[in-house]
Amino acid sequence: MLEEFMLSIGFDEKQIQRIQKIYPPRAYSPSTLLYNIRNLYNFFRRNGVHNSEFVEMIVTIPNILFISIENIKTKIQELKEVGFQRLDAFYIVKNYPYLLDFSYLVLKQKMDEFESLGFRHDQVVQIMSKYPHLFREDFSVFRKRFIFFLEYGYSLEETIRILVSSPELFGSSLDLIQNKILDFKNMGFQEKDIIRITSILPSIFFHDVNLLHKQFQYLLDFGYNELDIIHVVQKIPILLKEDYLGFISNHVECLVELGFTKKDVIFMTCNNPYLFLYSTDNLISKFNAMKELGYRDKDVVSILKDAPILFGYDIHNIKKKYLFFQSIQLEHYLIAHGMFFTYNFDVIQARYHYLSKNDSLKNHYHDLFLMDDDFYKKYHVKKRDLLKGDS
Amino acid sequence: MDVLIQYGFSIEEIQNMLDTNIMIENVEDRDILELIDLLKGIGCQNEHIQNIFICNPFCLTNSNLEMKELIDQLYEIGFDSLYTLFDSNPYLLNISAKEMDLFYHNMLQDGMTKEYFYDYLNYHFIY
Repeated sequence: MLEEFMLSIGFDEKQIQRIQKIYPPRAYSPSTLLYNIRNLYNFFRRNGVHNSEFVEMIVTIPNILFISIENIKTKIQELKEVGFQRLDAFYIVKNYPYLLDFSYLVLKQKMDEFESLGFRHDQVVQIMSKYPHLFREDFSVFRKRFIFFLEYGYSLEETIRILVSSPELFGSSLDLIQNKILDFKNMGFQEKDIIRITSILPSIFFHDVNLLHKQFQYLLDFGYNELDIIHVVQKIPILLKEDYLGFISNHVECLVELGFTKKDVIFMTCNNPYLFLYSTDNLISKFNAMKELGYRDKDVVSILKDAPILFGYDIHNIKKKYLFFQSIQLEHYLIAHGMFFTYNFDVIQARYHYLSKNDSLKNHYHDLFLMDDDFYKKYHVKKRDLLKGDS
Repeated sequence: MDVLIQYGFSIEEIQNMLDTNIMIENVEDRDILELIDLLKGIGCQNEHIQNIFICNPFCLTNSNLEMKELIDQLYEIGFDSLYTLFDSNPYLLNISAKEMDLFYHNMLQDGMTKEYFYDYLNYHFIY
């Protein structure tokens, strides 16, 4: 019966044998064990713990089978008292069942220790929920990690942000952190860049550096120089996430296939590093959508080279502007001035109506695209008033 | 993400946004609604919000509080009609208020006028 039940909820035979052999389960009869495990299973299931999580928890600490549900409820209550939500409390217990052995005072003390470093209470709750193993760590260990960041030059705010986002760093060796910093330095990053990048993307400390080196080399071979790459990464550190990093070469090749020269690609991606974050399908579809408006391939290349941000724009936004410019025969003028597609449509329209009304439009189409200050100097009307229709 | 569908985004657009920023999966609808309200509060119409989300799906996972701080900072600097600014350059929403303030003061220190800074932000793309 016991074995059948355990198998039915996801234990494998090896796990069952292991549990039955070790102390204290072997001191109890199978019927007691079955009774306990059923009760416990029902209790955790009712509180959102899945079968596989329950199995893992019991395999980690078989002793739980002999802790009364009342005691577990008390522990959950204690966690709630120190600030955890009920679901988080269950999450912590299932991920770190050792916690059931900790007294309320120990839990509270650990939370207070973090707060003494400058973390807010809700941040401590967030840290402990993500990484409950820290309840076990010695305060002096995570204090050392904390001070390391401050001494390296991170501000208190940045240090807190990093550790709240990646609390595993409290448990990592200082060597790992120092080596990663050294890797960045060897690639040419300055300390301020490293601080910015790791503050925005603390998980970078755990990324595989080989992939990073490989993509760096690819970009160097393509024609980027070291400073270009650092500029791009410094602007958008998220690019270093493995999800994106692996696709950099695909993006570069995709842009070349669309008709951009290598020089264009380097110029565009340095100007707008977000291009690396759009999918290649998205880049291609945006390029084709521009062609469908009536532009030739080389026209689209020219427009997008001038305004690579358009790769990200909603095509309806571009189309609306195109139709307007077409209606005033300016669509070809924009081939050499792709940036004008990025101007807010309301502003262009308001200027158009203003200039038409004042008979100033003829031969002055270029004035539609003046900077606000230049437009004001020439026509003495502010953008705010134009948009309100007060002019 | 139901709210995006209700708001008129097509499945293809949402997929593209997800391809760019996979973290959107974890965003609560109420946070998206809060962001939409924030953008409407500065004058954005539906079409502007669509362009902003499609171009910069990262704003959906930024902290709404930090974006609110940025907006307050831009007003303090003297910007009006912020919706035109974000519609032209949706990536600006990824910059913190502190970075914006630093950027502004550096430009002033370099001898630029306030008016030049307004135009610079409106018509030159800083990321």
